[in-house]
Amino acid sequence: MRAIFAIVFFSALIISAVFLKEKKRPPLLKPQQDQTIKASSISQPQEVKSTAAQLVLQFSKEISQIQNDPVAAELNMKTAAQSLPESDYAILEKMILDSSRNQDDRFVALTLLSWSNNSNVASTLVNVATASFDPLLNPNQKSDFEQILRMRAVEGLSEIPLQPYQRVEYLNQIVAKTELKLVSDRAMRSLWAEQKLAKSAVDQDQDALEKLLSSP
Amino acid sequence: MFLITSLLAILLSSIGFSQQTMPWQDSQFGCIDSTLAQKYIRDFNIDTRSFGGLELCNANIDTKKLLNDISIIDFGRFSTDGNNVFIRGFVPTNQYYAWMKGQTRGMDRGQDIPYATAYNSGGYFTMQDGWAVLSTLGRVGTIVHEARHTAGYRHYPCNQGPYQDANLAGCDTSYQQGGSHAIEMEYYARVSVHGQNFHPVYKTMARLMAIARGNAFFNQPVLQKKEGLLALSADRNQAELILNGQKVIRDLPQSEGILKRTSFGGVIFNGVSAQSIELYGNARLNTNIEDTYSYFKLLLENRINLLDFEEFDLGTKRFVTRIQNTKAIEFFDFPNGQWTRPVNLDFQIAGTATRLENNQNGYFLIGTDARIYPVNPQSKTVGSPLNFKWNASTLQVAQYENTVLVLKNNGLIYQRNSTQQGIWPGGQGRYRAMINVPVYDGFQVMR
Repeated sequence: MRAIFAIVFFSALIISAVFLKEKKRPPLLKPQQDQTIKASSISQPQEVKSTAAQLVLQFSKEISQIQNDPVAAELNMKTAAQSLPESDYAILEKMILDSSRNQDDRFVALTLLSWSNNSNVASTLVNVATASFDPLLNPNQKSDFEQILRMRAVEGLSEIPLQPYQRVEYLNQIVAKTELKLVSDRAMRSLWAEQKLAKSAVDQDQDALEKLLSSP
Repeated sequence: MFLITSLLAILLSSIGFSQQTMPWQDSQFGCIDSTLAQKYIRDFNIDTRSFGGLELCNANIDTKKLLNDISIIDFGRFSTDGNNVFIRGFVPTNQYYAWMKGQTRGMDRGQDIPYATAYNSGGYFTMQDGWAVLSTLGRVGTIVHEARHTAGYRHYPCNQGPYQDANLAGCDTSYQQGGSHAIEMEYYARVSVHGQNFHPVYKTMARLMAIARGNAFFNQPVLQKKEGLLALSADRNQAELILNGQKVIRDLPQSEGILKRTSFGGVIFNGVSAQSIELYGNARLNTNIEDTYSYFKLLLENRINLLDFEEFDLGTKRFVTRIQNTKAIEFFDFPNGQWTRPVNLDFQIAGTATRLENNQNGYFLIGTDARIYPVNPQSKTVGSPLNFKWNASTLQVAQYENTVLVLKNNGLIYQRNSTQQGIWPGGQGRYRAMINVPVYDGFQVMR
């Protein structure tokens, strides 16, 4: 028994030592340039021509950079969102739900819809909030970006002009359909806010994060 | 053996896990100033060749992504207004660049641990394909996360969240531990709350990321759902919702049944169907609306007479059980979307409970002899009876703001905590049922 333990022990020691040594400076890999062109990354021609696609590219670039005037940046994006033709909404929805696309692009596309100031995007926001995951995605991806995208779609319903009863109806649809606890939770917070029983979900988040940062 | 365990622990601790692999597309970002780029490459010992070669403009090349990420760390600014000067974060505010530089011996690009987003080995970070396909915020968060591993902070097996069932150490024990997940969350929270020169969309992503990760990657949840108390009056057809020290009256469905907690709020369950109690308002005229929001909607699938139905959360996981007869229990198998075969019992069920007088919560079966049997929904088993019995005069147990509340069969609610006994002042009247319900007016921050 001891001999077996000894063999296992020294084997593990040698393997671990070699592995650790390698991990100190992992071997250099070949340049990754071949990854820059992938079939799924090539946009459809009609999409490239659309105002929506151009705005997504423009703002995807902007959100990734430090801003001298964030207020102006937001105003600029809102103005652009409100000038989007309704015919482009379907393009944006397709972008948002395409899990092979750049995540910044998808989040920007969703923000443009949320800031469109157009009640006609409500059902699209519900579709996004309740969309199922691509089963081929790594579970990790589900846990954050795919979830925050859907949470953002719920918040979008509070940013477009809807009658209170319509907003409640859409939020109830999300609660009834989603399988994600975080999305259901976001919709419930929005329902409570809609009934003036709570601050908005955004303000609840900010309060909690501020408390987290300032607690001893 | 200890040494092997230690070595394996060291190996695991050097790996920081986060995201995924998928194809990507990036738009052209603004070009990085070449002098600045050289500074970043020098400060962080970046192996540009492994990232696709030096590239200052084309964001399709990973070098440009990394340089862009570092510039956000370099130039991102946070206000410190309102911060208590005696309270310090894990990373000094507005010193992310210097802190990162101090924690980084080198960066390169690889794909040798494909299930990880990146890993840190002795201060050398290797960014995997999963890093390259993340949002800008996600990539920055990953770099900040990896930097913390240099100081020896490792991950631990998860008792909840996406890694719960994976054989991987992917969680921190708590936020206070100040590990990689805490550092990452602190960054997101700071961007959201104190960020001065970030794009509003980047800030929104940061806020949501902090909220989403607040409970997924810590074994002790950081942001918890708040709970209120819902009590049914004995002599009136109404419910009292008590939260934040206030009491509001809520309409009740007209049907008879027992009061049950759901993820949506509460329902009146009559054995066949469940009518929802709308906690956030009394606006509707029809109070008989069947619950299709929580997992009580499973009742709609086949109308059978049940003795009990329960939806409950343990950690971040949700479970549903049902009891058709007094000698068996069934569990809902979410991955397969069906009920398990009944688990037969060697005792007869007289009742159920979700909280006990010792404040233990979960799901418990109470036998006809008053013995209490804990249900383990993970293993879909029923455990041995506890060493105390259910008090015959107790109807239900709940909790309100750290006080255990016991509803007795005389209709009165009693409080149980270390300093106070007797009738609970918050419940003035007599009641026939009482449960905790989720409240969506804020988060309980656990630090």
